[in-house]
Amino acid sequence: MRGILTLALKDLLLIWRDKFGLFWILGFPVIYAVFFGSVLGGGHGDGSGATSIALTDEDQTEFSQEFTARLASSEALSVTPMTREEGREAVRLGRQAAQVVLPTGFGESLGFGGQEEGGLEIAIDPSRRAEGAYLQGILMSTTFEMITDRFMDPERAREWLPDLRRDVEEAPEIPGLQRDVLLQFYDALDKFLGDIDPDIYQSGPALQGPRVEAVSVTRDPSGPQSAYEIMFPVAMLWGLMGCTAGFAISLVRERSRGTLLRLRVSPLSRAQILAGKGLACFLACSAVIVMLLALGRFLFNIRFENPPAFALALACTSLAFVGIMMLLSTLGRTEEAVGGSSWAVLLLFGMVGGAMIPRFVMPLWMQALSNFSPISWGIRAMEGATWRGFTLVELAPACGVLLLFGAVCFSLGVAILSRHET
Amino acid sequence: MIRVQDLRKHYGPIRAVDGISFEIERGETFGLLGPNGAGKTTTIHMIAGILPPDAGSVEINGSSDPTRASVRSQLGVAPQALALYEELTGEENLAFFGRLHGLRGATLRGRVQWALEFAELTERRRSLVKTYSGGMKRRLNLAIALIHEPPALLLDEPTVGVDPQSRNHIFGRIEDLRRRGLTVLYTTHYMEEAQRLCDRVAIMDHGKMLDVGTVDELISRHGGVSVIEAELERPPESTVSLPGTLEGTSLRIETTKPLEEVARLAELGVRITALKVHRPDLETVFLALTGRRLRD
Ligand SMILES: Nc1ncnc2c1ncn2[C@@H]1O[C@H](COP(=O)(O)OP(=O)(O)O)[C@@H](O)[C@H]1O
Ligand SMILES: [Mg+2]
Repeated sequence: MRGILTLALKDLLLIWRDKFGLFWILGFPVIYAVFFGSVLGGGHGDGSGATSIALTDEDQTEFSQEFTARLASSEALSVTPMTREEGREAVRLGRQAAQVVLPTGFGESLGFGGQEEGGLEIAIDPSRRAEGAYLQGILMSTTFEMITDRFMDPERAREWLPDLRRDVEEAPEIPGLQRDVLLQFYDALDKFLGDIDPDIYQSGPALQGPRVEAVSVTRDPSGPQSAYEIMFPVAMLWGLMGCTAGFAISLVRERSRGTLLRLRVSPLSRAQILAGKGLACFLACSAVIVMLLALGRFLFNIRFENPPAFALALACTSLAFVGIMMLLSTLGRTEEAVGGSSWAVLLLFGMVGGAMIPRFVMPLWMQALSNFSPISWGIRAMEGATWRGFTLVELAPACGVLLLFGAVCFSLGVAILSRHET
Repeated sequence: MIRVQDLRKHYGPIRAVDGISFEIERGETFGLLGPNGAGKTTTIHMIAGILPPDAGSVEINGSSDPTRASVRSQLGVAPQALALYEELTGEENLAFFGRLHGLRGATLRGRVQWALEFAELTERRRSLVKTYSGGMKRRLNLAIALIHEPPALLLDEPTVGVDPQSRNHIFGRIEDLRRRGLTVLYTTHYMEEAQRLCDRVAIMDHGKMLDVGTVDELISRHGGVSVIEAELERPPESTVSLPGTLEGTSLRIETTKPLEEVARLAELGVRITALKVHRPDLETVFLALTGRRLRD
């Protein structure tokens, strides 16, 4: 065992000294996660995932001011007051996801101005439609809440009645008889609201607005909270690809540089020599995953709540790639041949496995194909162990597939290697 | 110490080693001399237990299975192709292979220091091997084979691609090891090396061993006569009967005992201005045995 450890430590030192190989193992995955995480609208800097909007209050009524205050207090929004022109420009330049204008008459019409004056105006950055749709939901629910609150206060509800009476009296299209019925109803309502004990009135069943925040996909706690949560598991697999190719090359290098011969004349058995290489690859894979997790956790708020599940996913994924490494090392006799063909195979697996385009945007046939890619299963295991919050049982299928894949590749690789050597 | 009996290995139609037998005594330096492709490396690999022979047996210090770690650890092997980690320093290479042989702590440090001095690399011990010269790499390659103090050494062409100074250094080191009583198997295609370093030499070609013996034995068996060429001061008086053939003042003598002939000339009172003795060497032996020169 000591011999195997000595071998593994030597390999880790060699990998560490090989700055080019190290870039593919560590540098590239970090760049990948951070770059694509931020490009795909990762965390908006504050990590809260809030949609930024420019708000223009041209109405300046009690109602519009309360509306503004409610939007500003929403966790899902980050509100910046601007003039109409400033807001339009900010959306055009992509600094704000959307602009919301409360025009003159907004308070008068209670936000339901529609095509007439007083209606809420929204302008959305076309590249951020999803956030725009979500914003519309929030605006709806805020309006609804405010109206509900008014009706739930008998005194404030009575304030509307004179306006309503005037509307009915002045509307020529309402027949006289109907007008009388409506006015009698308003009188009765006015008397009812004035006489009733407010406590009893409010204890009745309250109107419920649509709970936009609870149903929105992006706020669903079971979904990714940021693009970083999607990108870091993928980056981990990129790191594993770098490790796998690096160690496959180092195994051939031992043969081409003659050091394998020297290892074989040492007291170590052939199995121990391969075990040493495998252990080094396993440790490097695990270290890469742990480093990316730490980076994602502390800088980008990646969720990570179940350490045992993570340990299981990490062990199975790393083991699978040790097996793949053994098989890849048999793809040629020279470092160049093995390096080239290893990356070709890994990139192919990565392409169908979701390392380049995420699995959920793939067409169905390609999603089915991705079941044959260990990289796809690795991403699933790593997602399960991080933001998806899988239990050990939920992780079992992915881990099983990974172990099986690793075992098959390992056996094949070792069989071919020992054929080469005699 | 090392006994090889009827060893055979072929690669397809190529008979790399074709029935070789020899025995190396403890403390002896034994040379395998032959051109490239003769089968020297293949023989060494079979002795070291990393290449299974098709037939024949290898015995090391009385044990017959060199694939066993305990048997292998009695050998130190310096491969023909430099077997070094270029991205490690000389010191790290030595320490790594020392650890593989189970050395630890103070023992390991002591051995690494010894090996660095042996290879004259103490000053460069913290430099990466890739920055070493060819000669330095060769010396390190040899030193690693010695890190675990094996009683027997297998050296496969240890001076290939080395400048004359490093070559002399390596010769000196191997002579040291001889004096210390190590058993050495030394392969080479340079006949001067075999002649200088080896107690006994086996001549190899096309996987076969053509003859084995001390250098003198081989020369007297296959080297034929020595040739003496002497330039005389003046033509000899007719009363003196000289050996060999005389043309003017140039005398040429073919003999198996050149030193005795030269002594006889001196006794006869012949004054000589120039003298050349062409002794047969292993090159001549190889030519006689194969009809080819050692290096083409
Ligand atoms: N792995 C191999 N596959 C095929 N032929 C080989 C192999 N190794 C050696 N040979 C052949 O065996 C013969 C002896 O090679 P080798 O032992 O390396 O000779 P030497 O060390 O004396 O130069 C050569 O003809 C060589 O081409
Ligand atoms: Mg050779």
